[in-house]
Amino acid sequence: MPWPLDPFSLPFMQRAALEIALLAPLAGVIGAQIVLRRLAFYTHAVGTATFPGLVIAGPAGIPPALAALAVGGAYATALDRLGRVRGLGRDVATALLLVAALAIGIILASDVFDSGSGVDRLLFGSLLAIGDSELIATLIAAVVVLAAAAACRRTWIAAGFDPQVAPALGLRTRLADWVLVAAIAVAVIAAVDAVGALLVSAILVMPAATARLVTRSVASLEVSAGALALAEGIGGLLIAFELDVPPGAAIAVLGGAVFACAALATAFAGRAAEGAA
Amino acid sequence: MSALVTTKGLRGGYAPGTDAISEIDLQVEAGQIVAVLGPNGGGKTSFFRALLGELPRRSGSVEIEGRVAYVPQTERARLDFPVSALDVAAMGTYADAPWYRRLPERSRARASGALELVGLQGEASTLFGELSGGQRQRVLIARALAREARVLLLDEPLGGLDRASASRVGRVLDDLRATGRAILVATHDINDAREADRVLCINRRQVAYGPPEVLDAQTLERTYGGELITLPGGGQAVVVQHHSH
Repeated sequence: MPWPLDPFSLPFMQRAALEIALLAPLAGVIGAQIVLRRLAFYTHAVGTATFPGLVIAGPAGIPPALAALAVGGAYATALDRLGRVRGLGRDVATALLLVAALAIGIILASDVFDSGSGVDRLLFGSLLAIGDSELIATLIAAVVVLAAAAACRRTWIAAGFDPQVAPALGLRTRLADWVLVAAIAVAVIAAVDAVGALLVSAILVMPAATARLVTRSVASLEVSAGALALAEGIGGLLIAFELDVPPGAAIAVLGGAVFACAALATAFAGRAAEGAA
Repeated sequence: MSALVTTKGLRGGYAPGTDAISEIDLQVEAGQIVAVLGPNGGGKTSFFRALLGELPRRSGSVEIEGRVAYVPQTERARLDFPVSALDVAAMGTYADAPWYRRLPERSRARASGALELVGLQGEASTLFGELSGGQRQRVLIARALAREARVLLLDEPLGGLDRASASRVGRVLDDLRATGRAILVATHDINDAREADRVLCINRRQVAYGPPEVLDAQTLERTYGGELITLPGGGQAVVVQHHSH
């Protein structure tokens, strides 16, 4: 392969690239909803909440995806209950549960299972060590989430635009909102293998947040976010390979840099347009 | 003419032991505009929620012919959402479209037709957040029309609009009246209420219902629980709330 693509002649780089390619549609469709519905903090929190499940999974002999799904589901249920407590609010409940999940995970990792050496991998991912089973799990997650999105997308858009009136339009918004929360949890768990519990936002939030700066429709936001996730994922992989740094962190740094450039460019463009007017 | 909305002894509320509305008896014919007049917290929105089936009903009955659609105040919609005027109007057709298919052409045609009815066909591709307040209000009316609703419930549609925009929205409502729809408009503006075919005065319970002539000083005082002052020159009526000290 020609430079700079020659690292992709290596099997582990091919599997990593395939994992990114499978996550990219999720980053487009679900990432757009995360940004539009202001669920970025929830997304980050669900990622973190999977941490104790992943710590337990290895020593207990449970498939990591299953453990993460169980803990993520428990987290979403607890968040729904706690968020209804009068005077507390959903963001406070999210923060409380996030801290609890992280603390439990650290205690389990250091004192119970003595698996401290694997904590970095759980928190920041192991994209270069992706195996066939992880690829299959991501493929299944992508099919499930995209099918849910196909069924609920119009309701998600109507409810996001005008949550109070959407039910009066004959739309089943409560069910669709539950599906969205579950779809985000599944997408997060799929991304944890690649970028870790702490960096799922690098795949699911950053590309969509960047695309949101320059797009004017939901469809263009979805397509742009997916394309950007793919480009940043592949770019991050190459940086990680060349500089010998963790790929999850490389993808996050690249995503942050692209977002900063896009934000600056749109700010300058806005000022130029105001000046011309 | 046929009645599109009939309520008899309607009473309902959310909080146990407290009625948000009670004793609502009215009949709205096709082609009528009804002003729902009352103070803030007087039950105008609760009455609309009762018609939409969202307010728990404790007694009485509601009969509605055809679909009913609610048009909120524009500030409640997300102005930063990347949807065009046509996208918003098309939301009125979403419930009728199969979930597994792209939005059918007939749905898009319904949305375009609704925008045309409110005079905004030229702004179909403009982002909702980039429209003026009056245009946004008309787009939300178009969304209700695309739902093929025969009964429209408008919550303070002229609130915050300048005189020209309010006049344009008023003309749209007049046009819709001519198409045989029943239009209920929540307002706290007595002068707007005088322009309607019927007026429902409400302050948690029905104070009066009838032609605009019911709006005498006694009815207004019972509606607002305050004193009515008529400003010299403009003939505008202002209600001053009683305060207990």
